[in-house]
Amino acid sequence: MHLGLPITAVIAIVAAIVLSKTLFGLQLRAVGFNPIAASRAGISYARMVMISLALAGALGGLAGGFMLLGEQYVLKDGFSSGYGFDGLVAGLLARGSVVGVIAAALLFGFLRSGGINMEMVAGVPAALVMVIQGLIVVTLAGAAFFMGRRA
Amino acid sequence: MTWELFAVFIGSSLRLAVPLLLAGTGELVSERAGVLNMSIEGMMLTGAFAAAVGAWATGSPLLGLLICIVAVFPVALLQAVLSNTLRANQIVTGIGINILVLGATTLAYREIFGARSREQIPGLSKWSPPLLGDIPVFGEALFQQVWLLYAGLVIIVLTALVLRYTSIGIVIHAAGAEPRAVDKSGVSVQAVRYAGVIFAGFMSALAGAFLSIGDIHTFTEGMTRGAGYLAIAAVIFGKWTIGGTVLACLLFGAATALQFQLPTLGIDVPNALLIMLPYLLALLAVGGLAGRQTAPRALGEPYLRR
Repeated sequence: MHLGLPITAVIAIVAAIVLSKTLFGLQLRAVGFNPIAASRAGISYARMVMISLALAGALGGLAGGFMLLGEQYVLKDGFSSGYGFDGLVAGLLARGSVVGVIAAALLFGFLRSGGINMEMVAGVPAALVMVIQGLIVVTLAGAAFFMGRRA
Repeated sequence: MTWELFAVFIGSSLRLAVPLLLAGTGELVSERAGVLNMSIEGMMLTGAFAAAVGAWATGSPLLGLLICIVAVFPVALLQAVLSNTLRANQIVTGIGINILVLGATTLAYREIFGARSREQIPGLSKWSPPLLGDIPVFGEALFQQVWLLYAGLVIIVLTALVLRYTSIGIVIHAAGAEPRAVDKSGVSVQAVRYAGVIFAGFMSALAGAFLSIGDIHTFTEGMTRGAGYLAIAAVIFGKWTIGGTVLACLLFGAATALQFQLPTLGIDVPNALLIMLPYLLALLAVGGLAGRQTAPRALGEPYLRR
């Protein structure tokens, strides 16, 4: 394990606190729920969007940095191999909760590492993991309807 | 640049643009009907795979094309059910389907052909229009193309005419802009949107088949390489009009063709820069440099009848 893991854990806790306990988090969620009402309440929509996108970009960059400096040590083209999309899906499936993000990210992580072992030990192609992952995403997205909420 | 090279450039631009044109037109209809169909990439990949396997197994590229259209239908139906009936987040379902298809086709390809196959797959035949094909320099380079290319262009023109001049076109536009009005006028919003997504699936199937049995006569894992996302970008670049989308696809095609043409002209530009070009253009377009965004108002919002 490298330093990336504890740093990630700390960031997750900070993000959870900021989102739920601070003024900034409240404003951010307000803009997400209803941009018009938020603007009426004096929250700048453009400002919130720019700050959140900048933060998202910074965290994404940090993820890439951890992958390279913590594990791979070699810069190759396409080194992220779909992790970005996994991250996007993990974030979307989490429905705005940090705990959900951690759960989804761990699920995808276990699937990936399990897939590599599966290919080495049992000779099952790792592509099967993508099939399972796709099925999970599609099922969860579709299941939102039955849980009476929109994902 | 000599005329011969220029003719080859135009010809290959068109050839590279065709999958984008087909998929982009399908996506345009789907988005106009109000469904942001992110699974174009997956549908194209399914199409490319099914066409290749179909043509290889039956020995007939035409049957391969038929199998491909049939194979993409369930994928399109899945997207339609998820995004309309189950009202799921359309970005999540699209990406989910793309991951699912990438995994499934890779898995199936390895099961059927083995890890590294150089199996020749029968491809669609070429055809050149009688008079145009005889033009001295351009005839051979520009009009000696796979027949699916001409068929695709005809379908795109027909789609444009239907969107512009028929009541079907009006209903499609309305389903994406003012679904409640469509519902009040007695037309089912769900039916229009289902049809839009399935049409997008049909067009993506053709686009995928063009890639595998029309252009390079083989299938490789994940061979669409983001072409589906580029088609979505083309719709945005074209401001949700069919003319704009077609122009954007041609532009992206030309940008891709430049990759192969510039080195033969002895112009030394890093290859990575050229690969970036279509995406850079798309990003500039999405960034609002190509004018104001004019997305259908209800795009991406599942319709809930009250």
